[in-house]
Amino acid sequence: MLRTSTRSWTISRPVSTRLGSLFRSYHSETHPNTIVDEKSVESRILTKAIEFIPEHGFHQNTITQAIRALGYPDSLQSVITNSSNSPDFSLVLHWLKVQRQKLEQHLVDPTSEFHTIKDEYERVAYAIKKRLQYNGPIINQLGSGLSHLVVPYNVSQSLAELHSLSDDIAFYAGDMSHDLAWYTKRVGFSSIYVSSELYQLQDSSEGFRRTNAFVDEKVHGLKRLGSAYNDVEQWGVFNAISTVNLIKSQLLRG
Amino acid sequence: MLTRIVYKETPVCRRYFSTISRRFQEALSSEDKEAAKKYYGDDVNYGELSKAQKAFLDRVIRVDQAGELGANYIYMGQYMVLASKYPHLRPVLKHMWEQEIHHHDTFNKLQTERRVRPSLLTPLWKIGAIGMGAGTALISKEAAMACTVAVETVIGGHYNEQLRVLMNQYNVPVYDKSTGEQLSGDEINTDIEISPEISSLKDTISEFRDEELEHLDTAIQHDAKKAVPYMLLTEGIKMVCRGAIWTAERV
Repeated sequence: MLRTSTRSWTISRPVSTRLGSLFRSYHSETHPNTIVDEKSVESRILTKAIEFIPEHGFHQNTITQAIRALGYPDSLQSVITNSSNSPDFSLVLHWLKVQRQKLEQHLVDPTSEFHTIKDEYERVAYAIKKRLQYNGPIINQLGSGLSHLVVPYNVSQSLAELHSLSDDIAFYAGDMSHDLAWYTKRVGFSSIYVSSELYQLQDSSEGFRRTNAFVDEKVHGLKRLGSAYNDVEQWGVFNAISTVNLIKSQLLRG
Repeated sequence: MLTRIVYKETPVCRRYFSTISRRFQEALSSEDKEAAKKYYGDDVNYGELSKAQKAFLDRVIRVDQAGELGANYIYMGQYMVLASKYPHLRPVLKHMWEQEIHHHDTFNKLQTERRVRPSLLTPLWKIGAIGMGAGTALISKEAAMACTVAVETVIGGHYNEQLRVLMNQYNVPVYDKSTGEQLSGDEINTDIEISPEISSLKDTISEFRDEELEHLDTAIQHDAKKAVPYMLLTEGIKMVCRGAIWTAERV
């Protein structure tokens, strides 16, 4: 009797690991990859709520305002409170996702200035600065928004969102690394992004000029670090090969 | 007892003939159906892949990249040791190595395009693979071939497992591009039931599997079975490879 092997893989097996959930999964080319599902009621409310953030902050009130502005019954609050996240945090996370989507749309737009830049790291700096510009309209509420992200219960979701952002930036900047450099770059971009955002909170210069300079400096530092590492690696490999050859030639001489 | 057998046999006879004519009819009607299908490729959109489907593809690309990297470095190690000692093996090894380099490059490209994270243990795979290749080659050329046999057996089997899942589990809804209506199976051509992305991945994997199995034959032709101790070597290496596959999928 034929029996299907139980060892063979099935798709239903839970496959995500802790590490896997931190990084974005497979990016498809012919199937849609959605960041924000614009059709769901929840995201429609939260997207509307973004308009009220400058006034009311990342707060449940903002969501209430949005529900009323859309002409929905107040009971729809339950759509938001239903998830395991607090309404405030849901709003922060949604806001981050919308901004990330906006950035992605800007980066893939063939007419955008981004495509005139050739150097990978300059593209990275451009993308980070562009993303920080999106913080502009809500800069007064940003501090309280960020404070939701670092609540221990929320940290894993915040980090996942942060890494998705840095992965977007690295990918569109043209990263082609296949080894540990892949991780180094993404962690580097994430930390540059976070530190620049904290800098931005204190920055009162026009158009965040000082923040932009800060980003440029940090990205330049990371680029130097990368090339230093590559130089050391090349030097090491060269020396290893020449040592082997030296030993070989000495052995041949007897 | 006897009557039962007779009873069983008669309908079999009859069905035999009827099947033929029915098959004939089926073949005819399926040709008609194929002609009636309106959608041929660039006029459809595909639905979103589920989380589990994506996670599986993620694993497939990561583990295949790590595996091809390993194969590439194993042949590099073998070539380093054997090429100068046995000039007659040089073209054989070179040919296999070049194919592995091509496989490795293909999966490297897929990894960056599809935004899959590479295995965290990449440096370990590099060192381990080059050590395995050079180590077995240092024992004897037969041992190196036995190593090839073990590795290619495991890789071939693993590719087959992946193909089995890609074959069965990747039917997503297909929509008309202009109207957005979901299409039924009768309307679309069989070639485009699965998105070109998945079918090209399937083609790549099955092509690579065939080449890996070709390497297996080559290794056996070059006296792999004469390696001492053959069983210990091949089974040991197979175990190591399975462990590496398990780890590379996850970490």
